[in-house]
Amino acid sequence: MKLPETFFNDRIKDRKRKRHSIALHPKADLEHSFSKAFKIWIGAYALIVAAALTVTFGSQAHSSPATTVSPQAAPIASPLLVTPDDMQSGGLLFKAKEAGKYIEAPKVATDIKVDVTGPVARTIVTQKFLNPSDAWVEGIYVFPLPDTAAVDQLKMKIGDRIIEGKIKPREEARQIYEAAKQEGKKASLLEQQRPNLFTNAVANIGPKDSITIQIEYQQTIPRKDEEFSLRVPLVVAPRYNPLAKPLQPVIDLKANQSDGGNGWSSTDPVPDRDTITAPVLDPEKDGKSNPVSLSVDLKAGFPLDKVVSHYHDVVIKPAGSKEISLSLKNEVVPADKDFLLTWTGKPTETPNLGLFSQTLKDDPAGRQTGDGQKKEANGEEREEETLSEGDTNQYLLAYITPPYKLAKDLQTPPREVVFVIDQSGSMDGPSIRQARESLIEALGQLRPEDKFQIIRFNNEMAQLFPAPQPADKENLSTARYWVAAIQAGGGTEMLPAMQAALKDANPNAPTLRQVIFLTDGAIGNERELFETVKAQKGRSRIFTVGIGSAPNSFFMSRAAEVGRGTFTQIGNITEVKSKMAELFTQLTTPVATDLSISFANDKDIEASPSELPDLYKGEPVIVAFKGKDLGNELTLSGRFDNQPWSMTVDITKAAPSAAVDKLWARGKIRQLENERLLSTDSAGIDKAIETLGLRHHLVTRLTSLVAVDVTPVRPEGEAIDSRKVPLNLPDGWNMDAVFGDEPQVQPSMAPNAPTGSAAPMRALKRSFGLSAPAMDAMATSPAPTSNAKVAALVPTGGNQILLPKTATPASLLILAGIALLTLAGALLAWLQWRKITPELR
Amino acid sequence: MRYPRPTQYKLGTLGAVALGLLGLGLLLWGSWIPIKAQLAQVLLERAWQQSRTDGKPHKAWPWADSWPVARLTIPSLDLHTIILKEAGGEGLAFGPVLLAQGAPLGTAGTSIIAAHRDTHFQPLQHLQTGALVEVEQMTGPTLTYRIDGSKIVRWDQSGLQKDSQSPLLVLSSCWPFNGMVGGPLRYLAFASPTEATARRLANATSTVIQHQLAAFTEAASQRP
Repeated sequence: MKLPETFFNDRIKDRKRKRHSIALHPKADLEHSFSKAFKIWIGAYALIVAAALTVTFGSQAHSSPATTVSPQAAPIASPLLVTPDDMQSGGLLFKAKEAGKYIEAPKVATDIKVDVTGPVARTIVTQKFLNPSDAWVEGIYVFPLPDTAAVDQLKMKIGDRIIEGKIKPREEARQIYEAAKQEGKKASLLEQQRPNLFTNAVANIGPKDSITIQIEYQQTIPRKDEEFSLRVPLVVAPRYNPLAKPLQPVIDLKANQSDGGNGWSSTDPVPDRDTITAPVLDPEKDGKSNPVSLSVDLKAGFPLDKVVSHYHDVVIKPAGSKEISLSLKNEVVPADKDFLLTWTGKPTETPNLGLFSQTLKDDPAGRQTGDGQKKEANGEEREEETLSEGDTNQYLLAYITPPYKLAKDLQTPPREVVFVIDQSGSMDGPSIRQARESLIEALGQLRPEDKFQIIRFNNEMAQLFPAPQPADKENLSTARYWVAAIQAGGGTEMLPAMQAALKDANPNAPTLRQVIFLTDGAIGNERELFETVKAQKGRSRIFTVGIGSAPNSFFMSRAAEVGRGTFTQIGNITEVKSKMAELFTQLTTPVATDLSISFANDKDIEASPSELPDLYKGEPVIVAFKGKDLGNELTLSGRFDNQPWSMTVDITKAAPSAAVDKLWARGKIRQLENERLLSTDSAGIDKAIETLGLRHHLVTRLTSLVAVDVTPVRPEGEAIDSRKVPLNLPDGWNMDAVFGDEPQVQPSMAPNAPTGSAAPMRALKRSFGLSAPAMDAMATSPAPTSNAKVAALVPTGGNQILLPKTATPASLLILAGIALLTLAGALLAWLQWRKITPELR
Repeated sequence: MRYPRPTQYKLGTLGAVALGLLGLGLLLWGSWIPIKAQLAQVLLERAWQQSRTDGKPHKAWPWADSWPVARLTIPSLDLHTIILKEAGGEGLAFGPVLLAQGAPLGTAGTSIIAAHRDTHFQPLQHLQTGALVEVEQMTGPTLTYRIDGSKIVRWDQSGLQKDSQSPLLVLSSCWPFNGMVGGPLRYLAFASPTEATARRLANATSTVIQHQLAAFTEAASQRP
C-alpha cells in the first residue's frame, strides 16, 4: 500500500511511532475480539442473504409446470379478428368461426340527418353495408351513441324492402330473432348493452347483398353557459386532435334577429352565409375511407347569435325564416373526426320557458310515434280535439333558461358553507394533497359575510369549530393551518360526517346552506348514505367533489342529484384551481332556487324529474310532464335573488313535437333505475321500466327492437354460417373507389401467417384493407397465431383503461441490501486482513 | 508497508457496520414486501370465508381500505389468491385488485384483475393458453374462464375499453416478470368464459348499466 506523502502520511508515521510504545497484550486482545465479531458477522450475513433469497425467489420454484410457454412467444395476434368490445365506431361485424370473434365488414356509406328542435335533436343514421362473401351471413352492428340518446326506431332495408322494428321485451325479442334466423328469414335485433352502447344483429344477409340499416334516436342538447352544442360521433377512436388552429367557420347572425316572442322564435337566415368558405384540411390518407354525408336542420327556437361548425366545412341553406339547415360542404368526409356544431343565443333578461307539447292516445298494444307531429296543423286545436277522446295523455317539455344579464348584478345572500373532507386511507398520496389544495382554494373564495365549518373524517370525525363561524381573517387562517395538517389514514365512516354536515341549527333561515364534500367515495354503504341525504337534507344543498383518478362517480353524482347540488370531478392536481373556481362561481351565483312548477289542475301530473334542481348561471333546466289535462297554463315559482318569485306561462303556445313523450319516458326510466338501486322491489321496478319501454317504443335495458321479414329468403339447404371469400368483386362495387387505393389499415404481416394465393383475392384484400390472416380466418378460420402486432383494430381512444403499476421494489431492495452487506463484509475483511498481516510479515 | 492506526480501524469498522446495517435494513424492507403480501392473504382468506357465509363484505383488518370481493384460482399454476376491491394505491401490496375501471365480476364486460409481478402474480409467467381460471364470487356460482392468450402492452395503450359488452377476464401484471425496476410494459392474459359460465353471464345485467343510465336532464352531467 502506497500512501501519498501528505498530512495523512505524517499521521501514519506518527502511528508507527506510537505503535512501538503500545503493549502487546491489549493489541492481541483487540485482534481476538475483532476476529470473533467478524466470524459472527460472516455467519449472520450468509444466513440473512440465504433467507432473503428464499423468501423472494422461493415461490418461483414450486409453481413452474414442466412445459412452459413464454408469454412472449404466444401473444394474441389475430389481425382484424375483433370482439364487439374492440369496436369504437359503428361497424358491421361478421361472425368468424372462432367463437366470440368477428370480422369487420367494410363500411360503405353513412348518411346522418339531424333535426334540432329547440333543446331536442333527432338523428337518423343510415348506413349501407355490403356482405362481401358469397355465403349467407349474420352480422352484428355495434354502435356507441350519446349517453342521453333514446333509441326508438330501427329500420332495415334489404334490397328494396323496408322492415320496421317492433318493440318487445328483451327476452321475447331475442327469441323472435333466433326463430327467424333459424327459419331463414331476414331479421334484425337492436339491443341496449349500456346506456350508450347498442348492438344490432342482422340475420340472413344474402351473398354480396347490400343492407341498409337505419337507426333513429333523440337526445337533448347539452348547454354550457350560453353555448349549445351538438356533437355527432362519426368515429369514437382515435379521437380527433384539433389542429393548432381549429377550423371555425363563423356565421354571424346578429344582423337580423327576430323578436323573442314565446321564447322559441326562430332566426332569420343571414344573407351572406354562403360565403362561409373555410377549407377543410384533408388529414393524411384516411381521407378516402368511410364516406359520410351529414345534414343538420337547426331550429334553435331562440334568437341566434353565432353558429360555429368546428372541424368541418358546411354549406348553409336558408330554409324559410324559421330555421337554418346546413350540410357538409363536401358531402363526403373522412369519418375521422366528430362533427361538432355550436350555437349561442342572445342573452335574455328573464327566465325563459321553452315549451313543447305532444298529445298521445294511450295505446299500450303498440302506439306509434309521431302522431303528434303528423296532424300538427294548429297546436291548440289539436289538443282540444284529442282531449275529448278520453284516454289521451298530454306531454309537455319545459326548458328553463336563466336570465344571465340579471344574474350579473345579483346580490348573493350570505351563505353557510360546510366543507367535509375525507381523510381515510384510500385518499393517501396525491388524493389527499389534491383535497387539501382544493379546500384551501375554496376557503379563499369565501366572503367575510359567509359562515363556514370544516369537518374531516376517516373512521373518526372531527369538526373545526363547534358551530359555523364567520369567514373572517382570523378564522380563515385557523382553518388553513388545520387543513394543512390533515393526513390520510384509517378507515372510511362517512355516515356520521354526512349527518354532522347536514345538521342545521336554523333550518328555516332564508340563507343558502351549501355542503361541499371532498372525497373519493370509496364506501360500501351507499344506500344508507342516500337515505340520509334524502331524509335530512332540508335547505342544504350537497355538492360533491370527486378526488383522485378513479373516484366513485356513481355515488357522488347521485348524492349531488339527491342533494340538489352538482358533482365536480378533479382528476388531476393541476385542475384544482380552475375546477374549484368554476364550482365557486356556480356556488356564489345561483339564479333561482327552490323551483317548482304547478298547474291549474295538479291532479295526475307526473313530472320527470320529479324534483327540480336549482338553476345556476349557464344552465338550463329541462323537465317533462305527463298528464291527462295539463290545462292552459303553468306556474313556475321559486326564490330569485332570495325573494319569492313566480311566473305564469300560457302553455297553449307550446310548439308540437313528437319527441316529448320519449324524453319524458327516458327521464322516468332513469329515475326508476336510480330508485331500483335503493329499492328492495327490483322486480317491480323492472316491470315498470319494461312497461315504459314498450309503451314509448324505447330501447331500454329490458326492451329491444326486433324486425323480421315475412318470407324466408335463404334457401333451405344452405347454412347460415358457412362462408367463402368471394373470388372477385361484386358487380357495381368499385372497391378501390370506395375504399381508396391503399389499405387504410396497415397490419404488420406476420412472417408465418397463412397467406392467400389467388390474385383477385389479394386485390380484394387490398381494397378491403384486410390482412391475409384475417381473410383466411374468414374462409377457413384457423385461429391465427403469429407475431404480428395487433395494430390494426386495437383502439387507441380516450376511453381506454389505464393499467396500474404492478411491480414492487422488493427485488431491487433486496439486491441493494445484499450489495451493501457484501460491501460491508468486504470492508471488514480487509480491515481484519490489514490488522493480521503485520504480525505475519 | 505502513499500517493503519487503531483509530482508523475503529472508523473503518464503524463505517462497515453502518453500511452493513443499511444493507440489512434494505434487505429486510425488500423481504417484508413479499412476506406482507403472503401474511395479508392469510388474513384476507379469513375475511373471505366470512363474506362467503353471509354474503357481505368484511374487512380483513379494521383499518383496511378495501375488502375481498372474489377468490381467484388457477389450478395449473397452483395459484390461490383473494381479490380485493380497488381502493387507493396500497391495495396491491396485499392482494390482486379488481380494477374499478373495468366491469364488476360476473357481469357482461371486461373485468380486469391486476397484481404485482413479483408477489401474487409471479406464477403468471408460467401461464399457458387453455389454462382454467376460476373466480369464486361473494354470492352466486363460481365462474370459470379459459385463457385464450396474452399480450404485452404499454400501460396507457392497453386497448381495453371501459364500455365493453362481452364478458372477458383480463389478468394484468408488469412485464417483464423478472425485471428489477418498474417499466411502462404490462403483461395481459385474456380469459373468456367457458360455455357454462358464458350462459350464466349472458343475461347478467351489469351494475354499470344501472349506474350509467342516461339522463335526459343534461343539466347535471353536461357541466364540465
